[in-house]
Amino acid sequence: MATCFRSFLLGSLMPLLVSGALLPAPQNITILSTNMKHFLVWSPLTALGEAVKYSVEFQGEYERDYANDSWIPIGECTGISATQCDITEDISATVPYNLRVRAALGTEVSRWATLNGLFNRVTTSLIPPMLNVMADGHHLLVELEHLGPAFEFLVRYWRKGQEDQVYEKVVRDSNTTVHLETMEAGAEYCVKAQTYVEAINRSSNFSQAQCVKATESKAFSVMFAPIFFVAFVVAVFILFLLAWKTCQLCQYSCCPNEGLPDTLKLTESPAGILNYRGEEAEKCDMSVHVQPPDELLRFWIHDAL
Amino acid sequence: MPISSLKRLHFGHCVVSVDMYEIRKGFGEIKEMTQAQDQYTSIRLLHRSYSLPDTKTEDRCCFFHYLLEFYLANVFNQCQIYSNFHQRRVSRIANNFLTVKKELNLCDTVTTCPCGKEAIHRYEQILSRFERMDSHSAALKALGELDILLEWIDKTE
Repeated sequence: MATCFRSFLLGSLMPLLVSGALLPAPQNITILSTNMKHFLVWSPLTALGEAVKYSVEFQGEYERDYANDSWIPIGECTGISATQCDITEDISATVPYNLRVRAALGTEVSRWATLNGLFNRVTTSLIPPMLNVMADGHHLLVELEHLGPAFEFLVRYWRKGQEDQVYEKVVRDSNTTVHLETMEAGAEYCVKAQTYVEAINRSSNFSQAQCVKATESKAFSVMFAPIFFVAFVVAVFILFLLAWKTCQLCQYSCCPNEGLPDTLKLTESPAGILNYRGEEAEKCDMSVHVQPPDELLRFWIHDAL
Repeated sequence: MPISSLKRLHFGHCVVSVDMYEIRKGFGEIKEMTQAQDQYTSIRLLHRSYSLPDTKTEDRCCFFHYLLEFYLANVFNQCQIYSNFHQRRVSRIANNFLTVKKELNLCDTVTTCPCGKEAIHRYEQILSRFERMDSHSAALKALGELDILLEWIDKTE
């Protein structure tokens, strides 16, 4: 049905186009620009359906003043069916840009429809950034929305109830979680942020403040008390075991039971050693005397009597 | 992201900002292709003997102004005959150069940018080398030497 309608429309319009009446130009061309992302949008030529293709071109102040008023096609937005075009990549300087769109149907093209007034990226709407404030133990952390390399963030934070003492931190890389402060136990801290774009020297408003409470130190100790106790008991036991084992080892190396030979005890002159007759026989010289059995018996009887 | 994408150049009481991030991004994408097409490798337009940071402080503003105008009027518009990709990168660089030139124009150029002999001499050296080549090859060479100019800007206080 839709196809029939389209072919009817095309059929009825074609003679008009051929006879010199041009394809109507796109209308309501505007720019939606938020946080340095820029989109050109226009109203579709609804009567002609999806067969219509659009093409977009831009012109910076340089092209107007130095390059013979030339226009540069945006490759990604040439012959598209969509009625919007991401022009962020080409609006790359803070100068007034002009943009234009035209429609094409088959070999027919409309005249160029130009933006009503020039666009300068300095007019982009800067939205307060989204942030996620967290308390990790006693650390106050903030996670910031990633908006691209042109953005910096000014983060303000304070302890609730001490609003006169506000701290500031400039964050340039929003890819990471930022540590702001080590909080006092149980206290509540609030954070808000604004974006700053150096290239256009403009800032967004501040976001709504978000507050978090630091962990109570009591709760902290209650949670970890059993762990600390067990660790303490285990440590005492290990120390005791080590001390006992060390004593055992030292007993033989430092204080042996065996007495020193008398010769080693002498500290007098070497002459003394020569005259010394204390040890007539070396312990190792002691020989074993084997007693004959009858003699042994005699000793035994002698002893018994 | 670079610590700060804007390079601020102080010329007396006048301060201009150069968006090095945008210019580097634009040039980075066409540098290889541009330099590869340059066939006169023995010639150098932006010679180190008359570099921007080595220019006398009082002549620096004028010399820089000349360099900007040189690129805007003689170089970028010759480079628009290439692919759409190339054309859009050149436009990025050119419009950012224009922003700097406009900022410089806003300053009182008579008192901020007086053109002494040295500034004029340095600029004439570049221009005479440029004019000795055919306009297309010269523009291609000058575009390829943009990294030298960016280095000069980086090193200038």
